[in-house]
Amino acid sequence: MKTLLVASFGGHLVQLERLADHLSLDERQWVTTRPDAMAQSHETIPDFNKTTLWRALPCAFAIVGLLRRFRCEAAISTGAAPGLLCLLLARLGGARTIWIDSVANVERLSLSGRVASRLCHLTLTQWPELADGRRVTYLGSVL
Amino acid sequence: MIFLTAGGQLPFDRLAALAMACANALPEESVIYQAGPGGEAWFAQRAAPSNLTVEAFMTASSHRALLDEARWTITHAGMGSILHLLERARPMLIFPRLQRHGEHRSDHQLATAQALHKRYGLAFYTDAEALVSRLGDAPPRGDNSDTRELMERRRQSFGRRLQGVLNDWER
Repeated sequence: MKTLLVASFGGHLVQLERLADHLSLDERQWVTTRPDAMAQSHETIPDFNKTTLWRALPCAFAIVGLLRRFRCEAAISTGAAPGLLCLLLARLGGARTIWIDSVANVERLSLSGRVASRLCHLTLTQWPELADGRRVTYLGSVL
Repeated sequence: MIFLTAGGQLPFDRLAALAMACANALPEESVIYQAGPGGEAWFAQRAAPSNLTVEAFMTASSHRALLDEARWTITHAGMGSILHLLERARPMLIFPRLQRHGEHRSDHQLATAQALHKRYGLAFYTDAEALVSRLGDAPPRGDNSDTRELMERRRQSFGRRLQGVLNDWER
């Protein structure tokens, strides 16, 4: 599938890179939040979090632009907030969406993960104890 | 060289103090502290010893280079650093942000550290003095091939199952 891979720089991106090594995708487009975050070719979108929500707007514009250029059939994100926004917009554009909650969330899904579990096609936790048999699934871990 | 990293999201004053304590305790060794946004402020009113370097941010590649080179890395339970260090069998100590010091809204970094200790035996500290006294020791010589093998198997299995979902959707 033609797939968008989205993650904020740092730990979120490292997790998605490790997982993507084990996926065979027809075509992949990486998206992250800092131009120097990875060696592979990628697009950069503005970062925001829940204390800087106003920056979600420029981030959304950037995402809409790149979704026009790269018509994905699936979108996968390991977080954080910009990844969630990307999945929502990709879903509106008709893509299948997968949220993978960070392996750092051991006891409870992140806030973004809890939102994603209502809005994405598939929400994954990397800790089996956090799967609920309905909205949140465990398929494995990068750790 | 000792490398301390606070990640890219938040400052971490106790880790700043720990960087200072490391530099004072090990005057012959260089200590590098990646302090996070606003994390250098803690040093503004204090005299840092000459073997201590503080940077708010660094590029991903220079951050990785320091992880590879450091005698010890001390991380706030940051998963990017931890995965990288585990994959290369590099020594690390985890110093999580704690809710009781107002460093985070919850103790999820402590929970992460405990889970990492349980799964791979990684050491974590909530007490700075105990951590500093550990740094005098030579780090464990790194053969963690069991850990790496287990991690690789988990990733393969995760990838296979996720690929299955994507393949089902494609049909």
